[in-house]
Amino acid sequence: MINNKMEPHDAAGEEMPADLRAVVERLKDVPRAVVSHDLAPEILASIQRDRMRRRRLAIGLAAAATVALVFGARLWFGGQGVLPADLAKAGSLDPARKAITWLCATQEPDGSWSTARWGGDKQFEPALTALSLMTLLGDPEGAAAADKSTAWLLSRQQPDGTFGDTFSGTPYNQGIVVLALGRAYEIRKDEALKAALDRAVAVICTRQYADGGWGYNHEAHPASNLSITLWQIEALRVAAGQGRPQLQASVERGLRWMAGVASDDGSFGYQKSGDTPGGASQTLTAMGAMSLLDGAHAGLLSSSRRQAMVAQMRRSATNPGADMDYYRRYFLTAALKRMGEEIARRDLGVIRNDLLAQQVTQGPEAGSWTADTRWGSAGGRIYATTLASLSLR
Amino acid sequence: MLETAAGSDLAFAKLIRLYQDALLNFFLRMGAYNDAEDLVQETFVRVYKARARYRPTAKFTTFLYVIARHVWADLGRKAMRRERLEDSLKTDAEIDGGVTPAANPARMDVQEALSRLSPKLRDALVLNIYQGLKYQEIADVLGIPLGTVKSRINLALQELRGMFDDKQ
Repeated sequence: MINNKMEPHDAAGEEMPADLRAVVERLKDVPRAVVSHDLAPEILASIQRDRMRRRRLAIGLAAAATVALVFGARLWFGGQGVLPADLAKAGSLDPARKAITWLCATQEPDGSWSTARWGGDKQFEPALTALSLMTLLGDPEGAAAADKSTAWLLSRQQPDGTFGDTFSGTPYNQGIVVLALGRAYEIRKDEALKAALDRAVAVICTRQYADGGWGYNHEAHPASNLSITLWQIEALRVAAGQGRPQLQASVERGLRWMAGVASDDGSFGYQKSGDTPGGASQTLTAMGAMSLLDGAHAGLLSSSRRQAMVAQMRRSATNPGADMDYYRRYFLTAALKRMGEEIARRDLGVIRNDLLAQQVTQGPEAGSWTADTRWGSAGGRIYATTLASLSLR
Repeated sequence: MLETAAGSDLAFAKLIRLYQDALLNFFLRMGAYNDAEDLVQETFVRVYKARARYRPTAKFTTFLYVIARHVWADLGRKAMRRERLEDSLKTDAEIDGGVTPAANPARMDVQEALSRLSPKLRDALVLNIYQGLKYQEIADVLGIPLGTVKSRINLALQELRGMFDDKQ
């Protein structure tokens, strides 16, 4: 951390001769300067300009490469003007782009995505539309669809600040929608959006249990669970960074609860340590890793548990298994990205290849991912496509 | 920083706000003046570009000051080229009559004394006294042994004592 008092560390205070100590004192007797204004907006704008410049350059290079590829292929195949189908589509091979195109094409006129058409539980439509919004945000092609889905989500907010119908799974809708709207607010500083977020965030805070976690609504014996707690924490983290610093306390309490369900072997339990219903251990561990793998909260886990957690997570990443659990892959990739190490990059590559192999490449559903997977009955094709697409970023 | 590495602009904005004053003081003590805030901005832009190289095993301040020193060194190289150009355009009268602030003992102050130190001594001293880095952290930033850090800081303090004594 910064030494605001400008006290020299290790400067051998006691042993230092008095004359040198006097020099130190004199050096310290200099007024501390502060920046004339907050530099963050200018720096971020500069980075954004640079990003756009690079993107334009990349698009230019990709276009040139595609033209060269097509031209070369035409020569190779005898100049007959007939190309293999895959090569003919060389300009549209980006999987993330295909997913965005599919999402834009399947959005309902009101801005939502329909579980009646794409599978899943209708009560989770707010969460599924929010996942679509997160997938579209920041992509020029998806901008209009993102605006429509934002408007639909706002229209689904109840007077008490919750989203959608009230049922036991409302906290999922609440956490995921607040996370998505919070990210939308980062791009579009809209007052109506801010007000809706204020009300929605208040609901999350009110529903935090005394132990620090969150759980299902209307339970006879309310108990925190890792899955719901994760979404509330991620939502509050984004909201806290948008001028609501008081939310940090809730985040800290939630993370402490989460650290409390970790075991010595690095795995995480659902409601308590060692509790892994339905063989969801790998998914739960990926969730714990995603939330706790940041520098500020590293201390919540002991060093040995932290190392064991990373080892578990990496084993899970490199052995994804036959079941396409998009939920687990999403949390794994988020956790690996937070690790930021070279070795994590390799693991990310394994997950990426695994996901790419499952993307639909032909027919009307090209660009999406199939829903006949774990959690598919709750989320349908929208859940599969959005989480796979977000994992590929 | 890990959130920044994962692409969060929000997290990066927080980092900027946390360290912008500290970096400003670093550059001021190193001898920057009007352009200190530009150097702060340049440092954060480079931190962002290098975010993928950040390892959670290292302290963020070490990472930050390694980059800040590169920014400062690059400025020094540009200034040197500019000085050479300006020197070649100066007249003899200007050269004879020129009085640099450092040559005037009556105007001696802390900043001026720091500017008279060799860059190696000033680097170590500024990181310790003004940025609050521990010796081992300074060794990591400068890429030198711990013992060398201690001796440079000690030598810097002795030289400064001499300068302050001369003034009195």
